Amino acid sequence: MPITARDMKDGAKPVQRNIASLVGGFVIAFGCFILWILVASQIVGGMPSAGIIALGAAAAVAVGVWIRLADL
Amino acid sequence: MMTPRQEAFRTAYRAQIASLYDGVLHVILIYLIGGAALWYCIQNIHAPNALELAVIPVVVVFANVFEWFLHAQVMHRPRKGFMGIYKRHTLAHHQFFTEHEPFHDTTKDYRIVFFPPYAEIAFLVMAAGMGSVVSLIWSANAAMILVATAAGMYMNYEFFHWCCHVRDDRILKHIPFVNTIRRHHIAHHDTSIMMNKNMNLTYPFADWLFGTSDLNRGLLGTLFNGYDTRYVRKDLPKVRSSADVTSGTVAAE
Repeated sequence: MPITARDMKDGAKPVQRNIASLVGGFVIAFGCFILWILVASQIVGGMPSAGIIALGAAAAVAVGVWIRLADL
Repeated sequence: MMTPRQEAFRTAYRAQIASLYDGVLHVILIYLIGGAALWYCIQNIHAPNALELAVIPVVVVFANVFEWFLHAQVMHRPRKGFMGIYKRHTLAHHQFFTEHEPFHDTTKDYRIVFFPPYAEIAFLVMAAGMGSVVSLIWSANAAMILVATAAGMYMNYEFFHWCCHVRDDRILKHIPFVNTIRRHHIAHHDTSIMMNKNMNLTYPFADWLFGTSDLNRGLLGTLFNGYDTRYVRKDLPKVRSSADVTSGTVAAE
């Protein structure tokens, strides 16, 4: 999204998402996945099951996609 | 009192917020990430000794100076490679919030109050990197304490910053440190001093240390100043306050 006054000056241009939300989406998905694995391994006291890992991957992707769509 | 310029900026900014953005979800994500990191680290600290526990105040001071440095030298300076941060902060956050109208109205405004959550990941990666070195050369306990403290300080930062921009201060004005940083940060939003004064956002320690506080007080007085304005320096620049701007349009930066 335009984030400065100059960016907005020309008025109603098509909404364009910022590149930061694209890079940030990948960064946060990766970070959330690592955190999920760490927390899960702590809770189960070892390597979590494939199902838990898959769930973590799905949650991480969902967060990353939301960051992009919300243009954060 | 909101100037036409600020009002126009707010209207234009809000119109550009993506429909899928949710301020509450934004905050939940920040605290889930920080909370998970904090919990994991605490679970892996085992019978720390006094020297390892001394990492906590060291990291608190380091984080305080780092926060000051980042705010003063990156968020308020156009640096190559970091222009996005400068634009988002100096050219957007400081137009959306001025010393005359520093409060958000809805949770949609959280987009310009809180850092994007990937910034937290970046800080945690930096802390984990330092923690890895500490673990290699000294102690795994100290490394976990380091990362846990860094995660805590990040969440502290976000909470205090929100406290500065929330309208209702009936409770906040009585809480030590919170009342101090609220006055300190709202004063920072005065365009005439925002580039050089009041760069801390948690505890104004580094501002006192480096002489960038708008107060003329000692350390304890600065930290526990609250809303008191008696000690505000008399030699602060007064020109170009945002209230002086009377233009009805959104001016370019």
